[in-house]
Amino acid sequence: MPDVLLLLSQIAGILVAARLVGRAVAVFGQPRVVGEMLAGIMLGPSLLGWAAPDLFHALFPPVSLGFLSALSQIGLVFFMFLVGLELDLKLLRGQTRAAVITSHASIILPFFLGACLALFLYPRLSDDSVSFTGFALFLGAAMSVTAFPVLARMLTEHGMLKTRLGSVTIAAAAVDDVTAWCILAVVIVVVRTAEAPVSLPVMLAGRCSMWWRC
Amino acid sequence: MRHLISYLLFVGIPLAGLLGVLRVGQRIPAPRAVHGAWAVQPMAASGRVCTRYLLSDADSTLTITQSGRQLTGALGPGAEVGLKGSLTGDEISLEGVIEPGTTPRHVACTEGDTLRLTARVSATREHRQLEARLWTSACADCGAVEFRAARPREYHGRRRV
Repeated sequence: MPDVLLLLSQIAGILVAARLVGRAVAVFGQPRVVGEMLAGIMLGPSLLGWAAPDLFHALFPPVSLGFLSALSQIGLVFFMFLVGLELDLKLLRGQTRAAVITSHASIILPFFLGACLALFLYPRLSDDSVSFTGFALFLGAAMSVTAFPVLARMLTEHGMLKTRLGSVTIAAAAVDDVTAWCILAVVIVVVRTAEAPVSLPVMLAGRCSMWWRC
Repeated sequence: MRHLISYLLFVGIPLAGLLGVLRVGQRIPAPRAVHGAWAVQPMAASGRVCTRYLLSDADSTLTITQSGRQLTGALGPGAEVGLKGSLTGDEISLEGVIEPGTTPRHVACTEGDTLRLTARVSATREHRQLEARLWTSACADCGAVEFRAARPREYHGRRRV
C-alpha cells in the first residue's frame, strides 16, 4: 500500500516545481513542457539528490517510485486521449502524402545521422561482442524516435492542434511513433540473430508469420 | 510526381546513405571485449604476501567493466582494490591505490601503495584468456606475481551480423 501522505507530498512538490519552472521558461518564450522537464531534472538525483541527498531520499524513497510511475502513466493516457479527442481528421484530407513524406523523412534522416555517428563511436565506446550493424541500428533508432507526448503538449499549448499544420504534424508524429516501434523490433531481431543459430531472413519470416497469425 | 521526387530526395537518398554507412562500418575494428568477471589462477607462489593474497583465494576474481578502450576493475577475494586503466590492442594496463582498511592486516599491504597489473588477452572464438602480471610500486625488488584468468562461457563467441 502506498504511504498516502508521502504520495501527496510528492505530487505537491512536483506540481509546485513544474508550475514555477514552467512559468520561468515561458518568460523566455520557451514551451512550458520544457520547464516541466527541467523541474523533473531538478527534483531528481542530478540536482536535489546531489545538493540535499537526505531530503531527496525522504521525499522520493525508491519503494515509492512505483506508485508515482503508475500515476504518471495514467496522466499520460488521459492527456493522449484528450489530444485524440481534439484532433480533427478532416483537416488531414489531401495532406496524407505530405504527412507520410514528412514522417518518413523525419525518421530516416536522424537515423542516417545516428548511423554516421556510430562510425566515430563504435571503436571508442563498443567492443567486439557487439556487431557494428547492431550498434549503428540502435544508435539510429534512438536518434529517430519523436517524443510524441511532448510534441502534442507543445501544439496544445500554442493552440495549433486544431490547425492544418498541427494536424499534419501530429499525424506525422503518430506515424513516426508506430514506425519507431517497428524499427526497434527489427533492430532487436537483427542483434539477436547475431547470437542465434538461424539466419536473419529466416527469423524475420518467422516473426512476420507470427504477426500474420495474430 | 512532385511527391515521388520529394520522397526519393528526402527518404531514398538518406536510406541509400544508411546502407552505405552500414557497409563501411563492417570494416571498423572494435576493441576486444574483456568485460566481466575473470576467475584468477596464480601460476607460481612468488611476489609479496599482499599480491599473493589478492590472487590466491579460491574466490578471487578480477572484475572488469569496459567502455571501449577505457577499463575499470576490482581485484581481490572481496574486490578490495579498485583499478583503472585502458586496453591497447591485446594489452591491458590497470592500476589502483590500496585504500586504508580494505585488506586484512596480516597480508601486509601498504596503504597508499600503487598496485599495477598488465595483461595480454589471448582469444579464440570459444575461449578468451588473460596472461597477467601483478606487482606493487612499494616493493619493486619483490618481483611480480604472474597469473592466468579465464571467463565463464557466456561471455564468449558472439557472431557478427
